[in-house]
Amino acid sequence: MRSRYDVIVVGAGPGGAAAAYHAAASGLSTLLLDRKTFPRAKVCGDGLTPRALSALARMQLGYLCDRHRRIDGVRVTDGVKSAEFSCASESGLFNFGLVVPRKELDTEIAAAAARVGAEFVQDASAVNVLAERAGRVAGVLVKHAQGCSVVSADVTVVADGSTGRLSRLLNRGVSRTASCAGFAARQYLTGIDSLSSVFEVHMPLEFGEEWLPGYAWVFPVTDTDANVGVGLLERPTNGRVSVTDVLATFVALLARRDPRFAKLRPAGPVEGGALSVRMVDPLLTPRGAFLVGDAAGLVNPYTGEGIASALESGELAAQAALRALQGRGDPTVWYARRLASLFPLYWAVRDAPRHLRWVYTAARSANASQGRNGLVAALRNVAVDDPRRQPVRDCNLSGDTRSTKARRLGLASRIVARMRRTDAVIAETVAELLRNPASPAAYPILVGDGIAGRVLCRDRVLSDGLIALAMFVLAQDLTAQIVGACEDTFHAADASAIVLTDCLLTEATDVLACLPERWHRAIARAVSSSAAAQRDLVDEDRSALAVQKSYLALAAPTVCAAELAAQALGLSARATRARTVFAEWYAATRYAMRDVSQRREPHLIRIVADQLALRACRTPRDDVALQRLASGLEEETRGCFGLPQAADFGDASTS
Amino acid sequence: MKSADGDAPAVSRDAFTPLLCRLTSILDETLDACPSAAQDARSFVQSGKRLRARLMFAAADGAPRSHDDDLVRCAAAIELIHSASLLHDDIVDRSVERRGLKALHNIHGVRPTALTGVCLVHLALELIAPLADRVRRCLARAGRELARGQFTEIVRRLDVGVGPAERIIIMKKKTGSIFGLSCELGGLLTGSAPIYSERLRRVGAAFGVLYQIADDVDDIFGVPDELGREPGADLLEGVISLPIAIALRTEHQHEVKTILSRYARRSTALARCREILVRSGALQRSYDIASIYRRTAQRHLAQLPRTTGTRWIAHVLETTVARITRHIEASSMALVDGPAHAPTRQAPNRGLIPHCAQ
Repeated sequence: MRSRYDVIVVGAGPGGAAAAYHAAASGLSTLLLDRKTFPRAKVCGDGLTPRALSALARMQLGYLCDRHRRIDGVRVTDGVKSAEFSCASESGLFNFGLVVPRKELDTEIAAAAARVGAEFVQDASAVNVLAERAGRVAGVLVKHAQGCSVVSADVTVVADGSTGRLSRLLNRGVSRTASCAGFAARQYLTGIDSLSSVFEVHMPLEFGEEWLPGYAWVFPVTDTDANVGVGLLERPTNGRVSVTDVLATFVALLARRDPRFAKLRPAGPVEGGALSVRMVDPLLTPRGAFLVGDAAGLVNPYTGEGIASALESGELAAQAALRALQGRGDPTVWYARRLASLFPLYWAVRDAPRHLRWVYTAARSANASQGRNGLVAALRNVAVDDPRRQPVRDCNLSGDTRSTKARRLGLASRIVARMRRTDAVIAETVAELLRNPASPAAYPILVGDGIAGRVLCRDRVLSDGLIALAMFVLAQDLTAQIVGACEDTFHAADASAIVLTDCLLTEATDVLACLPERWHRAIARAVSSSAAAQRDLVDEDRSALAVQKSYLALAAPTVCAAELAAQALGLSARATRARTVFAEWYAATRYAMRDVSQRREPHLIRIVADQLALRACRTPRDDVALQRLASGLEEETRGCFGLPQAADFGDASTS
Repeated sequence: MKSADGDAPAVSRDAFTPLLCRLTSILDETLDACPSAAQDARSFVQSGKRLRARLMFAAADGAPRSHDDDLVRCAAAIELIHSASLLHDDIVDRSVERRGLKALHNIHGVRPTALTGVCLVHLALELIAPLADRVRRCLARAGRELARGQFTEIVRRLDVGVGPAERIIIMKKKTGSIFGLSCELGGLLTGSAPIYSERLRRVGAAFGVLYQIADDVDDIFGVPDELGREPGADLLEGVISLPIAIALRTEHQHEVKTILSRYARRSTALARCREILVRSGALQRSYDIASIYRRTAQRHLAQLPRTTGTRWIAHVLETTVARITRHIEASSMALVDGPAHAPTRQAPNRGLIPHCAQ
């Protein structure tokens, strides 16, 4: 072990070893540390999805497929009925899964890393990070058999798992219980008859009278051996029983109910562990360090699967390390953005425990057969780990863009017609302002139209509401654009902007007064908080958090538009929430980006815009409409960040 | 053109005091919802004379107290909208003082103040959300009229083509609408018969015009102590107020145009303007027009049940007219005392193109 490397990887699980492999393969001097001696076992289901296999193939580990049993799909069963989902239709290189015990898998990956030049040191634990000025991580303090040594590196990849020391150090804000929302236990069983080649998922997970938010798995290792375990996204019954008890109950039930398991014998002890499902915001990690796999909380909260995401994030971290060493851009931001685009679903389901519980409750309250069918249907999306899945709802929205545009123009022309009653010149000015697609007045209309689509034309409350919102936002934006600071610089444009504002405001009030009270109230509240935030933004010398809050408040009218549209469609509370959350991030980001491109001054707004854009990319997008909106937003985000950053910063700091 | 709140008579102030106290507290609460705007505007909003609120309370006088909540809520909304329009108006007019205080945009800057105005309107909208559809629509309609009146006035600044009739129309929109609204809502909210609400609205609308005429006259003839600001601010901005519009239709029009075009550089011209308005009879004529509206208001008032409130309105009508007659008396004295100026002969200023607010 030398005292300096390009990259240090802490933890030699799949994520860490993958990071070490790719870093070493791209020519960086790499140190891979692990506190255990390999081979060593891990609490895991040992199941490898096609996605994980692709990642392994990229590390020349495809030969594992020939050694182990291929898995054809997923079977979801409640003990009576079952549904199978085949992997055969997967379009990638692999249309099957694999069960490889972690003891073997981890050793193989670490060995592969060592083969391409990474230095693999076992029995050595990183006990602390070396912090440089400005909180940058510059290496680690390693404790090994001979004592302690300081190893410095340009990049530190932290892959020490869900309970790792370094990952906790680097995410001081996140408590351990908050970061590990899941619990799992597994046991190797043997003496089982005629195991078929599928990942068996047993749901619902019964424990006494209760249905727990999680599932049990039976993954065949050989024809007679299986890895059996349970994963939970909540502490069972408020922590009164341990997850190993739940597993023991499940195994007993299995032996009693399923003839295949009548003669099962344990082949190893019951072992438990934590699942880290709360994705850590990579932007909050100090520069110079990247968290991967469980350390970053990348376990899929629906399935509990974490190997594929660990492998992929390790690969990304290696690429980010390469970027850092080449001095290309900000690798932390790059890493954060790539992670968010790889695992968008993970962000959507931060409330997964609640979601799962909801599924159970729904299934239970329905009558038995229907409930089970519904349950299976709900699980179709859950069990198949595909972030690109698209539900059927709102398919009519994928209609042609011409009619979409016509609808929006229809709304805009109604606004102009209203203003024409005051004055022709004013109407012309408003028309001109509405033609600008970057105007915030477009946000409510875009989002409302994106969500409600064709319903928009028929629903008077919705269209009137959108018109009122757009007018209010336009008025507010006009006011925000006023330049005059003192009497000397005051000019006629400001005066006319104010007059126009007043006309728009009162005209919008008129529209509002014809809406039902509920929406009058909602819209008034939205525009009021938005205007207050706009007023706050004028003040300089505010913290990034406060600025971000203001941007979120600015988005209130757009959120209200989303609510209106959801109401017109009659969407469920959950679907409505998904849309409002999206609308909020969407509008907030666009506001922030607009300020970045217009004012070109403060770093602060740039940082905030960055943060917001990132979150916007992660918001749930479980239907076509949201995806379309989101992709449009992402394009704009890219355009915005294509600005020459260095020049901007240079200008600001020298002037 | 500002409608500086006039001196409300102390006569039946006691009758409204409980309601006004509640108005003050509801305004305070509402402003709390918007801390930054409240910080700037609280003292401004609270320093108004509440003429519009008083009108509403007067119109609602005699009704059961159960309607007080809605009344106060509506009055607060109207006061907020009024304050917002004043804030915006001051920015557009570049006013220096308002209500005896430094104008807000000179303290906090133009953009924050403009945004504060927008916030106030939105707060008003939130306030009226729970009210009946009819009430919300009335409010919206009056607000729209107000904005259109303001807009016309600003577009027609320095436009010597504005005649007395057009000026009256502007007045009806920008002041009459809100005054009418205050009275009408006073009736509507207390469940009066539609015919009474409509009559109340007409009383308010006529009073609004009368009040605005008094303001127009005060802008030229007033003294700083009473106005809470320097006189002549509207003249400075080229607003064609009613006396000016009348004078522009007399043989003194050239002098008036000269004053309008040169005033900004010669503040002494205010005295000249006063003299011309008196000489040309524009002041007297303004009084005559004001009297017409006073009579209209009185006629409608007479058809309403007599309460403390209507008596108070009648009294306010008189005091408003008295604001004009006072100037007429003072000016006739001054004319007797002072030497007459020889009318300056100057070519009509062709540069008086309408001020364009694009």
